[in-house]
Amino acid sequence: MKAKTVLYVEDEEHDAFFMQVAFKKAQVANPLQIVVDGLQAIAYLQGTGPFANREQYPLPSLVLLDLNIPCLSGIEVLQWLRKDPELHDLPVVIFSSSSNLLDIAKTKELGIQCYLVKPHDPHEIVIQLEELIKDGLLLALK
Amino acid sequence: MSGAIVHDATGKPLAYVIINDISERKQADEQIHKLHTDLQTRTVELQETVDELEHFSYTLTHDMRAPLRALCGFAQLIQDDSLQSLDETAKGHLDNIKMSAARMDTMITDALQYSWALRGDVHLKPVNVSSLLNELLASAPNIHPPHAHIFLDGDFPLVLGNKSGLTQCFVSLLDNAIKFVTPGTTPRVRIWAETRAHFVRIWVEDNGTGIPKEYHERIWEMFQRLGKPCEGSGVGLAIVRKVVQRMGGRVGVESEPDDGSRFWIELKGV
Repeated sequence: MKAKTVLYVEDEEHDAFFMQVAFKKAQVANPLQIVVDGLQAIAYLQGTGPFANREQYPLPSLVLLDLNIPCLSGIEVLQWLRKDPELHDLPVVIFSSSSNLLDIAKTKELGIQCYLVKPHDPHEIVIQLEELIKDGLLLALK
Repeated sequence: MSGAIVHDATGKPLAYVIINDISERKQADEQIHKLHTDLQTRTVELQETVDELEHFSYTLTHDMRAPLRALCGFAQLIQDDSLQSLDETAKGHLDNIKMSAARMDTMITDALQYSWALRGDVHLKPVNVSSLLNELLASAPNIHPPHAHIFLDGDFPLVLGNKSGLTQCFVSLLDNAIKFVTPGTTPRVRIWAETRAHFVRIWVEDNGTGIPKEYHERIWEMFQRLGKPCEGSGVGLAIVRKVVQRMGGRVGVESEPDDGSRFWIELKGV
């Protein structure tokens, strides 16, 4: 089975880099696409504008969503997604620096697979990804 | 008020005229009205400032964490991937970078918690302190023998408070009680309640290093520390005081160097 694309919505360049490193270290088979704000996320998911080519930008099987992002917040992207007739049940994992209980409650209410707090140690991202593999949200190489 | 009799041409009294000068009262009314309007405007302005400040501190603390994460992350990646090409001094420097970044992160996390303590809703309900403490102790294995001895002494009357707020307070107080002991000493903490008129005072007594009197006020302020930086960010007690104040209570301490500390939280009884 060919692993499907993961869309990572993240404006922090370094966080995006650590995620790419962790994808390699955790031996995740899914290709990773990164967009840097809420509007890009929606354009990617709709396959419009610069993301019109579905061969190059395939519809993801999972969205990794940061909350604190420009243009539209992660919560707004999630709200849009849950209302979209075609994409409403797309799995979403929050990957945020916020451990604010309000953020956690709000996103859980909207429907997410899980809520991950960005760790400091890149090793821990690898562990988080391994958990997502166990949960069947990501596919491992081999 | 003044009055006078008005006479006709023959000198016969015609009427009694009363003149009541209400201009002072009118002025006072206007003054009160103006003050009231001013006050309303100021309250709105003040609330806007408070909201902006809170938003500012929230965003700032969030945005400050991103470069810190990068610092920690890149240091870790060097350790993971290029350790063999580093000498011992360079490895030590790398550890220091990571430790400093982690310390800064703790400070930011605590500052965030403090701002939540300022903003969060505090619904007051009767709280059973004894069961709250028992739950807390059960969930924290590092505060059990042989690491530490914690005694709940006697009965705890119900207090009017907020359960999660109070839990946060006791976690901080116990954390301090256990952390600040002379090396080699096993921390012993006794917690008991005392009823004082309509209030219940809960005492947390430790056998720690104690606090000189001149610091008894300062320890409740943000980022005030008496120990080394690695021992804490200096926010714990600031949070305790803020949370207790928001529950309508008070906090205090009795302590002498080398004689332990007795911290107390006082809340309304039920």
